[in-house]
Formats: sequence, C-alpha cells, structure tokens
Amino acid sequence: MWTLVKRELSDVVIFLITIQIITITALAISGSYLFEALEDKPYGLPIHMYSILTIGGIILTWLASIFGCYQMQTDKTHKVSTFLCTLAATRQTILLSRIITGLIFTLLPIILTAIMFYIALQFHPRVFDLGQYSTILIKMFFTLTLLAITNYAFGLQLGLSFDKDQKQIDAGKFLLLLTAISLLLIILVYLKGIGLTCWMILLLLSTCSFWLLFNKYTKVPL
Amino acid sequence: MKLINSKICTLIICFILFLTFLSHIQYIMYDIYLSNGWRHLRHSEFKITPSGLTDDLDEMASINKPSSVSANLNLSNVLNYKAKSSFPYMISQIERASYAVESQFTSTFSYQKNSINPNEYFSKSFDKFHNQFVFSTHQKINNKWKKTNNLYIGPKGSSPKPDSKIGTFKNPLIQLAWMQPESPENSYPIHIIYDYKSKRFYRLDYFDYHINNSELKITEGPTSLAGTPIAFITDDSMPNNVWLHWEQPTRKTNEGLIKPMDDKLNNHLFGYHTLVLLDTGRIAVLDNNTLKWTYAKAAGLTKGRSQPVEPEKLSGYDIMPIFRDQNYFGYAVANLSKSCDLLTINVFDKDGIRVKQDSVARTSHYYGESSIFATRFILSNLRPALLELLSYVVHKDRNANEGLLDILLPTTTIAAEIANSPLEGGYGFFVTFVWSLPGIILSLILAVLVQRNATKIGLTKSDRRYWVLATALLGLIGYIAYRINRPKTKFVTCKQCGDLRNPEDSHCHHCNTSWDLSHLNTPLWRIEQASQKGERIASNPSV
Repeated sequence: MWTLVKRELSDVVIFLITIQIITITALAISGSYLFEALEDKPYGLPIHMYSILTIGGIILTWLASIFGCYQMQTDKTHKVSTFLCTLAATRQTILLSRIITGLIFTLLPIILTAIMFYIALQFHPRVFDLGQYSTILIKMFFTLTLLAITNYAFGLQLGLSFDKDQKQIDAGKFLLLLTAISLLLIILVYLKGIGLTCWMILLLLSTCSFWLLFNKYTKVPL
Repeated sequence: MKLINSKICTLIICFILFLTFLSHIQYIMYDIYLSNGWRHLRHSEFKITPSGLTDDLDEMASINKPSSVSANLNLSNVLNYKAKSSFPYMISQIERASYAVESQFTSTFSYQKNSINPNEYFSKSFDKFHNQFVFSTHQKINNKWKKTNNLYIGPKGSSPKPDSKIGTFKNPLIQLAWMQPESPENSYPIHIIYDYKSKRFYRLDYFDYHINNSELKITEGPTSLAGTPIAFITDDSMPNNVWLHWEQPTRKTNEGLIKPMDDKLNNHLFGYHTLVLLDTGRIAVLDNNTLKWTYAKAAGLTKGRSQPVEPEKLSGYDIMPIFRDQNYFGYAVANLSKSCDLLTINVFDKDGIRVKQDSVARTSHYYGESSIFATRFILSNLRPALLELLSYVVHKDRNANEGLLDILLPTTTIAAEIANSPLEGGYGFFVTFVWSLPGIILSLILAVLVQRNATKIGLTKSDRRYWVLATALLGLIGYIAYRINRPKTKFVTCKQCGDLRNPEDSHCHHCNTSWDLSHLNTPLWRIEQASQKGERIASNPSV
C-alpha cells in the first residue's frame, strides 16, 4: 500500500509542492495583516481570520476538485491502472492509495493554516478567554475540510468519465462543471451555516460520491 | 449493501445539489421582490407628526419643530436581516441560533468611571457571568497582554475568585442603565439582569463599589413574569430590519440655536424604568429601584387590535420607549407584517391608549414586477411538485423569519406565500395545487420521456420502474439523475428487427433474437481436446 501511495505521490509531486508554496505565500502575506490586527484589537478574533478561512477555503475546495479530476484523467491517459493491475495490486488498493494522496493534498494547506492561527493566538494572547471563538474556528476548519473532501470526491468522479479521444473538449467542459459544483457546495454552506446540518449533508454527499466512484472504478473496463 | 446502489447515490447527489441551486436562486429572487416593493419607502415620508405623546409641548407658541415618529426599513438587506445571514452575522450565527447574536458570545460594555474600565461577559463554556475589571486597558507587558479578573458575580453574591457559592446565571439578558439620583453629573451605572433559571430580575449596583470600595450590591427581584422576557427595549436594541426614529419637539432660542423643548424628555435609559419585551408580544415596565414589574397597559406588539402579536410572527419590529422626568411616558412601536407587505406605526401613551397610528403598504407596481414574478413561478415549478404541496401544509402556521434558507422546504416559494395568505385550508390547498400544476405536468412529461428512453436502451423492468417513479415524483431532479446514471453504451442495429440494441446483451431487447457473438467465441485451435491433454501430461509429467 505504502509503495502505491509513494508512486501516486511521485505522480503529483509538482502539484503538492505548488499548493504548499501558494499556501505558505498566501499565509505569509495575510499573516502580516493578521498579526497587526491581533495587536490592535486584543479581544475576540479579528475579521482577517474569517476572511482567510473563507477566501482560502473557496480556492482550496476548487483546487481539490481539479486535483481529483487530474488524478483520474492522468490515470486514463497514461493507463496507470491498467499497468498496475498486472502487478500485485488490486483496483481497490490503487483507488485507496489515490484517495490517500488526495487527502494529503487537501489537508496539508488546512493544517498549515491551523498552525499559523495557533501560533498567532499564542503570540498575541487575548485579553478575554477565547471561549466560543475557538469553537467557531474549529467549526470553520471542520467544515472546510469536509467541503474540500466532498469537492475532491466529485473531481475524482468526473475525471473517471474523461474521454481521452476528446481531451480538449472534455477539459473545458470538466473545468466548468467542477467550478459549478464547487460553487454549489459553497452555496450549500452559506445556506445552512457552519453547523451539524451542513456537516451531515456534506458527509452524505461525499459518502455517496465515494460509493459511486468505488462502484464505477472497480467495474470499468481498463 | 445491495440497497445502496449507484442509482440511489446519483439521485441523492442530484437532489441535494439541484435543490441547493434552486433554493439560492429563489432566495435572491425573493429578496429582489421584497426590496423592489419597498423601494418607494425610501423616497416617501412615512412619519407621524406630531407624535401625540407630547401635545402640551407641540402646541406651544415657541415650537420650532413638533415631535415625530418615523419608521424605515433597511431596503438593501431586507432578507439578509430577516434571515440574519449577512456577513459577518453569518459567521457569528453559526447554527442559526435562536437567541440574539449579542448573547451568543460576549456582551461587552465599557464606560469610564474613576479611570476604571470594566468589561463584563457571560461565558457559556463556564456557564458563569464574569465581571472583569481591567485597570490598565490592554496593557502589554513582555509582549503579553495583562489580564486581571477582579470580580466574579453570581445571583447570590460576588467574589474576587471563582466561587461556586455565588451561583451562576443562565444565559442572562443584560442591560446597562444609568441612575440619576440628583443630577446627570452624578449619574452612575447599574446592570439589570434577567436570569432564565430563577426567572427573576437582578440589579448590580456599582455606586458603592466604585465610590466607597464596598462590596458590590446585588438586588434580587420578585419571581416570574407571565411571559418570558426576550429583550430589553432600548432605543437601538432590536436587531431587526425595521428602524424606528423618534424626534422630540424643539424650540429656537433668541440666539437662533435649536434646543429641545423639554430637557427631561428622552428615549434613553436614564431613569427609573426599563421596558422589557415578552415572548407573548406584551411589554412589561420594570421599576429599576424595586425590580417590580407591571404590564404596559397597551397590547404591545400589535397592529392596533387588542390582542398582542408574538414577535416571532412578525418579520420585523422596533419599539421606542419614551421617558419624561425619568419616568416611563409611553412608547412607539413599528411592525413589519409576516409576509412583509405592511409596515405600521402605533404610538401609545403610558395609560395604554393608542394616540396615533399610521401604516404603509408594499407596492406591487414597480419596474420588472412581472418578470420577477414569472421567474419565481418557474423556479417554484422546477422544484418537485410534492415538496411544493408539502410546503403549503408545513408553512401554514410558521414563524415569520423561519425557513428562508431551507433547502428542502424554503419559505421563499409561491406555495409558502399562499400558505401565509388569508386563504383558508382546503381552498388554499387547491390554489397551491393549481399553481403547482405546471410542475406536475412537467414531471409527468419527463416520466414518459424516461419510460420511452429506458425501453429503447433496454433497461431492465425494475430499473425502468425505478426511474419512471423517481422522475414522476421528483420531476427535473429525477430526469437529470436518470440522464447521468443511464448506461453509456454505443448501440448497434439489430439484424432481425432493425431497432437499436445493446451489443453487451445476449438477446435483442426488442425482438429477443440471440446475438451472434462470433468474435467472442473461442477459436477451436485454442481448445485442448481430452486426447491432447493426455499426451501433454504423458510427455511432461512434472507440469
């Protein structure tokens, strides 16, 4: 399994490095404003934290879906699964290793942001106990994680129906579709708020999506 | 496991995503519909002049401008305020909490008194009401903020340290008020607290605590009101989309300056009384000194009838208490009706007599009215007809601000609007059915299309039945799910009947002719005969 994950990682290493560079650059830029705001207003949480999570979250969820689509599309174009199936690997393990890689891609920027927020709050302790504010942050991070994973699952699914004979048509069409799905999921979070109902719906969507993917991937002719 | 198949998964995904899309567009259209209808209010003078409360002053010869009460709406954000979803409210109202934003987190008050800057808050995590006194405001020492907790307050007393003996308040309503024993210069702050656990009012008296450094005085009021308080009424306390504005009568001095006719007339909480809004819509007048309360004689939130209206049943309201010589003198109240079509102002004096009333209705004649209505109608009919009919039943007696952001049964649909109209039971349901008829017809047409297509591509009988039923019940959602889920096979012409048939099936699903799969038959040279097998084993026994 670990070998398969390593192989998958080597396939998308350029993406992983790029997303980390983008995240770190974005956090460095926004972090300076954040630290300034934390110093100016020593109570509550500055609006910058919400802004970073909202804007960063929207971009990350979109990138996660594109990443999922890219993984499956590369697999189809380069016939990776066809080759791997000739070795001691089942389709289930191949898919699982691919999903693990996707989760690494999705979760790393979220973890980095969480670490930055933690350092910021340690460096500038609040006058009052964080109390409810820390709960909001945890809820926002959790929702963001679920949102990104759901988007990633949809990306994988769309990538699976990629037709290599119509590469250019499909790429444009898929990009539009992925953007639309990402937008819809963001609207869902906006409508339902960052709470239990929203998490349940996102969980249901991601479970259905992964289930469909699993069914399709294990039966599709290679 | 067999139950969770790809058909159900596709249907669930389509159902959630499609309804999310529709709900959001309907929410936007409803916002435009409401805002456009009220736009004329911005240009109109919806004002009661004179207010009727201060006739003695308004009729004086030296009057410059009589008293007035006016109301307005936040037109750019009617629905956002209604749904309490505007940013950053959206962030803070994480789970659409039923309680006010202010009480969800910290309620912070500050004032300057002898260089002391107290900040107090209620911490839900500790279930305690804290009062922190930070003498050096936000002082930073060694790159760390100095934090001092000087006093903890509970219903049974106060303590410099956390102490269980002092008890805890349960999600208290807090109001800062000012007492003026002699003159405004000597005014000092008090906090009036309503505790939901003991159902009492408490007063925190800071006078002796600050001046004489003695213990904080906590006064306990008598128990329970007939209703539950939901807010203290101050000049800006109602977090709604209705704003009420009161102007007191003014006079012109000999020097040409504009001055109030009576300095002791105000709408702030300087005085002996605090007004409290109850969940029944009635208003209680609380004596700040004795903490005894009486009902205000007027009905409270009302359109002029004798029965009060529950705040939850109104889209918006604002109440403006008027005080004269530190005593409760009357109040003005503005209501926005449940369906946002009528804004009313009532002015009551302290004896509960309605002295003035005026109202303004939302206009239905504005630019683009018909196109907005047509869009709303189409969107409502794209939703499953079943949900539309269910909307009528569910939203019949809903609260005004409920369900605007719902995905399944939002209150922004035509059916929900009919449910809130005066149409009664069976007739109302019939009207809803007629409005939903295009949606029902669309669902049936799509179901027929699915039936035809499924027969054509040779789906099994159970699959056909499933998709036809899903499309008939869910309309466009079922159809989209079917189009996504149906097998993407390249069909070939059947040699027998000439119709299209699935090359993967052994028989044509039209004429049941078997399929000559010659290219799939194993060539004879690849089949090992029994004699050949025996020879092979004999020649190489180790294999």
